[in-house]
Amino acid sequence: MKITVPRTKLSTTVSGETHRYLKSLVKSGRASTIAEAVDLVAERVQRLEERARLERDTAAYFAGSPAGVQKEEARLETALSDSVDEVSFEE
Amino acid sequence: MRSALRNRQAPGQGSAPFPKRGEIWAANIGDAPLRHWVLVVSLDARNKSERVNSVLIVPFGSAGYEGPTTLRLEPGETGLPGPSYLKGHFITTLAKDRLLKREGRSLSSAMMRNVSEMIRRAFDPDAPYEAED
Repeated sequence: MKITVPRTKLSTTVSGETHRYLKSLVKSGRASTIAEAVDLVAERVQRLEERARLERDTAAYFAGSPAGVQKEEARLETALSDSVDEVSFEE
Repeated sequence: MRSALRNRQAPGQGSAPFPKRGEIWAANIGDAPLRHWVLVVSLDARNKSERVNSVLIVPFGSAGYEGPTTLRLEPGETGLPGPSYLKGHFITTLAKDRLLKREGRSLSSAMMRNVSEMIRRAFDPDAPYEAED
């Protein structure tokens, strides 16, 4: 059984290029309607934005670590690596 | 091929404990060794198994700040003496017999969901992430 989520009615205009692209998504079977094509594109853009934000914030975390945090993390890295060395990955 | 754990006891035989997911333990980590608080994050089926000598843990840090893969926890949530930072990017395997003593309190199910999401952000670029720009 197909699960449907509540949808919001939206009346708007888009550029010819966007319309052609949305129609191509329907034609290729990746979406069954223009509305679904819009959802698909929005979902992709959102995922790409989240991915970029995660990469950026992760880079900022490691680049911006104060000296005290860096020191503790370096000590942790060494200690944890030593501990893992004794674990068998055959179990 | 190595023995399951070099020079160490199997869980349930002697002193190796059976921790539970969400528990905070003081553990010996490293060759030195360094006594450190860790959070057990592996599933209890593994934690309780006598055939598995290790658990998955995430270490706490006393120094830190919040980032995509860190989580600041207050003493009221952990039972630890001060604010602490869970570091999801350091998730690792630890021998059960390196766990010394259960300390603090167990984290709630809701908090463990946050912890799982935090860990996921350390390895999955498509992990949900809704931090503000």
